[in-house]
Amino acid sequence: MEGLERIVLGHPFFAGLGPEFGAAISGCARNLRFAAGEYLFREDEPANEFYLIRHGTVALELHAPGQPVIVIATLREGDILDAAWLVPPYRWTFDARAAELVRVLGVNARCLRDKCEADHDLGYELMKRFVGAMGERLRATRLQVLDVYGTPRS
Amino acid sequence: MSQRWIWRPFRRSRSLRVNSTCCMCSASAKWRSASAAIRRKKTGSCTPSGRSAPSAARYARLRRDAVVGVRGPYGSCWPVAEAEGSDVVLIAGGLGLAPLRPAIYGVLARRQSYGRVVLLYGARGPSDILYRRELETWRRRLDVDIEVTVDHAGADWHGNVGVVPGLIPRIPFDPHHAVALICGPEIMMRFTIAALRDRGLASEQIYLSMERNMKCAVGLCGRCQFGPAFVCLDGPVFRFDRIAPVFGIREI
Amino acid sequence: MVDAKLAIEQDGLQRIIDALARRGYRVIGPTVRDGAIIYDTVTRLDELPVGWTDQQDGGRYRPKWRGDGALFGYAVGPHSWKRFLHPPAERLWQARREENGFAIVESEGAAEPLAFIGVRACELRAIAIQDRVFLSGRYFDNPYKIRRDQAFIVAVNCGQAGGTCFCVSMDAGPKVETGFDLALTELVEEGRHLFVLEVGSAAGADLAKDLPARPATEEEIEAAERVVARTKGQMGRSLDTDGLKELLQANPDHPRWDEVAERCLTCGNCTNVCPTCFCTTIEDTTDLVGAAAERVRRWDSCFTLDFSYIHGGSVRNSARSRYRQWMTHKLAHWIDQFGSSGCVGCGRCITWCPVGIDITEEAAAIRASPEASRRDADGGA
Repeated sequence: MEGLERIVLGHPFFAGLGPEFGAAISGCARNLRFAAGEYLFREDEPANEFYLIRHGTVALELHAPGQPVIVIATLREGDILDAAWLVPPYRWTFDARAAELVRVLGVNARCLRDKCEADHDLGYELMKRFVGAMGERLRATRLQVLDVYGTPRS
Repeated sequence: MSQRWIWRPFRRSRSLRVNSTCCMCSASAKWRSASAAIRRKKTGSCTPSGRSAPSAARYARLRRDAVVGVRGPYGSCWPVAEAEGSDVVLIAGGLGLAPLRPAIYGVLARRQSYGRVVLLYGARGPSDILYRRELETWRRRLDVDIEVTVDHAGADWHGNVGVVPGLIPRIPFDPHHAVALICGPEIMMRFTIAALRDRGLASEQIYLSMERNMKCAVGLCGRCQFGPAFVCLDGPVFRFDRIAPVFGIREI
Repeated sequence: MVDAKLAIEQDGLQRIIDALARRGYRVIGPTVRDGAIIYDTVTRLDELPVGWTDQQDGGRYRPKWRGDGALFGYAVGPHSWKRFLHPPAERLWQARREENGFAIVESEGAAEPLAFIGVRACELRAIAIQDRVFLSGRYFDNPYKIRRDQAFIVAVNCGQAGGTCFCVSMDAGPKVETGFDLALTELVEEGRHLFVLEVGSAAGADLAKDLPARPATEEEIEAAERVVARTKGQMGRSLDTDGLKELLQANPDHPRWDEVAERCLTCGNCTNVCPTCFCTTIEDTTDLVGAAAERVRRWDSCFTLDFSYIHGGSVRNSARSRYRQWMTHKLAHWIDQFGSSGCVGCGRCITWCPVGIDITEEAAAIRASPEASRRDADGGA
């Protein structure tokens, strides 16, 4: 347990988190490993866990009939994946494939949601961080959607 | 877009002065590329913009030993000399890699005079990546960090997918002793500058290359004005603090 | 000799034109055509707008008969001297294809030297401003330099201010101070019609030798000064230039820009008639067989969409941004670029705007309610 707590508190996403919260989170956590090509999860599966990426690259993919798979983003060490566990219906909205050997810390969603309901301070610490990360993701996605390197729109 | 090209530094074989507003050099250059850079010795480069499709196509159709009239160089240049002693972060988006390429060569030519050297490059997709062979050559060096990312890709692309500003939090450089050189679409530059400032870089440490409609290139036709600055004379490379007041104004 | 003040009778002016023609100048002066007083080649005194004046206001110009035989009794019309010094179309160079490449055909240079008759103080200032634009930068415009060096200027002190004049606000008139070869002040009053003639240069002194001129009397000199003082008090508009540069540069999002955009047609008349507007476009043309090419420079206007076009769209898409660009450049950025305001207070832009937009009124409106400074020091994205 101690080791996991150290990993949680040492992860960039949880920078500045009080140690008491670190213990709460690591109590729901486990170490996981995915080989290159393995899927961490698929679209529409229940979001039972969220992942803190410790090593490796994860490709987020969407598929459409008759088209090759589209990679919409790649996440790396230090990123979290993702926020679907926080709000109903708790389902993943894309596929996540390990682009190479990937090591993550998986945190059980129900376990942590229950703890947040019991301790709102823990919930607030998590909210602050997740909202910040999603805001960054949204900003980057907007720029991506603009297709600035493509043919200019009139 | 064909990437195969052979270049030779061009020789100034004849130079004529005509009405003092333009100086024509006739040069013989052997090359064929849709996004071409003509290098003159190692100090500068004239890069016809590949974005303007008609001119790019015309260059691609030239035969060997075609004569091309070139005038310039005009305006300000990348602060390659001034950056000596600092970390250098070169950030290019799309076609912006072409104007930055001479700066990359300039820095690599005196690599020992700089701290960490980082190149970030964002393209639309894997098939839009410019200067692929050069990127691979630079990447093989042990003293340069290169990150390439694309906006969209298929599963056969094993690199980054995402925007250039997203790479900035992770790259290794000392914000207290670094210079950033940025070239790309204006929106991309705006987001990139925000990410750099989040890393602690001051406006005086950031240089960008602006573009506006240009005809004369010598500050006499008035078209390239960007606030009080003439992009052809005071730019195209600007230190960000000098244009920050007008940079974000819509339709300026 | 320079600075001498002479007097010459009204018909002596013909001798000025003749003396200039004899020296090989093409003499350009005011004349009435198509309902306006414009500038064109003149050879005889009766081609000048003798007895004419003009009524000007926002979007309004009417020539009006004065009846007193004054030769220069009007203010400025739609033309300015820039159409001769910085022509609307100019070939920069031609090229001819050859065996191994191409050869540049040098331009022949200006035709005959030009002599201007009737240049007002505001116009002298405008010429000086264009001199700074074309001659004092890192690169200079050679054809302009040739025409400018060869030009002979006969200036005129205004005896009558126009309805839209505000040269006093811009410290550009009505008295001509410098930059002329000869300067005339017309005295049309109680049974006399003569000109007080001031010599402004060695070339002017040389020409004056050919004229039936005598030294002006004290009374005549004083009368001339009274004419100018009277004109000074007749200004139709005024512009407060105090801190104007900072005011306009700090207010790019002022609601007034939206308001004027509802009226502005972006027709570009103002840029055409303005004596200091200098923006151009460059066009390359080739003949059908690709044997010859030429590059031509033409007047252009920041009010066109093409002006700011870059890959796929115009930077200044809205009328609002284009009007803002013109006015801010003229009254503010020009000072950063060239060391003085770009405006001389001639009022042409007000007169010739089809909807009568008044630059002095727009500036006053912004000054009346400036926004708080909206950008902090480091701008930031």
